[in-house]
Amino acid sequence: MKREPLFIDGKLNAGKCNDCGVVRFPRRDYCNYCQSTNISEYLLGPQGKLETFTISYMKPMIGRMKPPYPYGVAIFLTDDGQKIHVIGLIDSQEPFEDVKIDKGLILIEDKLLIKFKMEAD
Amino acid sequence: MRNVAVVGVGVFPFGRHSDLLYQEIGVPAVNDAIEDAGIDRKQIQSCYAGTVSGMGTAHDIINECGMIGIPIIRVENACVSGTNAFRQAWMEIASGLSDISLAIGIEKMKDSSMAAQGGGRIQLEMKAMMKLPIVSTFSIMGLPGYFALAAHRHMNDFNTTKEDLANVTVKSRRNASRNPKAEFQNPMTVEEVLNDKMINPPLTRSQCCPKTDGAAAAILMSEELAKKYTDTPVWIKASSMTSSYVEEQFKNLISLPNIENAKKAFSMAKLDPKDFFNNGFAEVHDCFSISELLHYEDFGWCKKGEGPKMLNDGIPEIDGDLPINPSGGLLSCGHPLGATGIRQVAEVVYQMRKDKEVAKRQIPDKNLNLALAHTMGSPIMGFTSGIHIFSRDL
Ligand SMILES: [Zn+2]
Repeated sequence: MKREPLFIDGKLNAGKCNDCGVVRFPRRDYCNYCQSTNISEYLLGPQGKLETFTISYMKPMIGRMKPPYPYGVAIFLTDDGQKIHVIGLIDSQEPFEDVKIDKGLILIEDKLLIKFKMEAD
Repeated sequence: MRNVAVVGVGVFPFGRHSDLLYQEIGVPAVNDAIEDAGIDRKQIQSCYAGTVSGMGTAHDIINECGMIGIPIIRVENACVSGTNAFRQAWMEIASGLSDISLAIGIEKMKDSSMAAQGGGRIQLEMKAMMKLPIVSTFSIMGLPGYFALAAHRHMNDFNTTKEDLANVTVKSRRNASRNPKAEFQNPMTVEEVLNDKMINPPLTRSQCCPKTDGAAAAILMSEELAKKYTDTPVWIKASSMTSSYVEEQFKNLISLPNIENAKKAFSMAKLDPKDFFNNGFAEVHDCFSISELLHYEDFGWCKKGEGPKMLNDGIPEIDGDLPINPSGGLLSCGHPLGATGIRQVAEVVYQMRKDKEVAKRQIPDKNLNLALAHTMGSPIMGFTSGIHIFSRDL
């Protein structure tokens, strides 16, 4: 088990199983579907779509985030149409009116967190 | 495997017990279960204790109860800990290792943070965790967050409303107003639920289960002994568990990680979900308002998206076709992690027996043939689901 970087060239560092074709993010040594270890690098993004979101009005259990902050689950599509769901912090200002379900978003590269910025309407 | 029955149960009132030790809330629950079973305590051959934070607490309880010498095993599996302790006691008897086993569920949460509750791991690993990007990203989510994400997607896909969600709490409080051992016994209106403090939109505070102190216990027996000690044994027809991982679960945000487990449990009991209508009832893991609606759908009791309709049609009410959470559930009883799974079993036993404990919230006789008890939990980034199915007749 090794620690992989989160981003490569501004895209998310995922893994594709060469035996069954399933893409997983984050990348791991084993495929969860066929148990293969034959996994190749597969990059996701930077463009995705917001599947759902919420806003935290509470301090997180761990970490230093200051509420309120919005976050959500984005879908990134692979070349062969697999939907990869990824959670991330949404870069937005109160009252967070630009944050809407099914709207386009783009990854923001960061060392420690997955972050999204909503695309303009 | 041998048939196993629940013969005795006990619950210490859920709420705030800051001045009491773990064993001071656990011992009364265990003594009540022993008295309820009508056995001599020296007949108990093994003990499984579900608790997330209570290191060593089962040993203190067993010592206080005069049963020193039996094997005592602590079981930790987040919110499923109590259900798992119960499952281990079932396995102990089903396998023939014991004829009588004790399952305890216990937790004290009022005076600690959730991070401290996690048995120390979160504090020990905090620095390392925050350097791991994927973990630090998940950490922004918090406990209500995951369910809020599911709620928003459900509202988007099925026109589920804030009022639909609030109605879960309204039903919960209505049932709990008839449960003297619930933490919150005050009825609430839809408006009061929606105007409560916002936690994670669309979930307000009263749509989130509270951190609670509480304990519960159950005595399980082999078929041979159960028939000797009681005329009203409650039979365990299925015990089923599955696990999943948060990144996998995001693939289906309008469901919770219980679908496969529900199928396994119904199959083990040789039942169809529909067999519960006008025949059974359930205690399910309503950790948040949205959770209960998703359970209706994920367990096959209604179509995907029709959870709110099932609730608004009155089906899960105490006098409905399929009563769900007659106790008030986690939203109103409170959720002492390890205790919840065993408190649910106690509700099942009291209801099936028409015990005076549930006199004010008794489910009609036609619905007492089958029961289902379910918890789900999230040990850090994993998910676990535990289900038991019970019957009045073997
Ligand atoms: Zn594979």
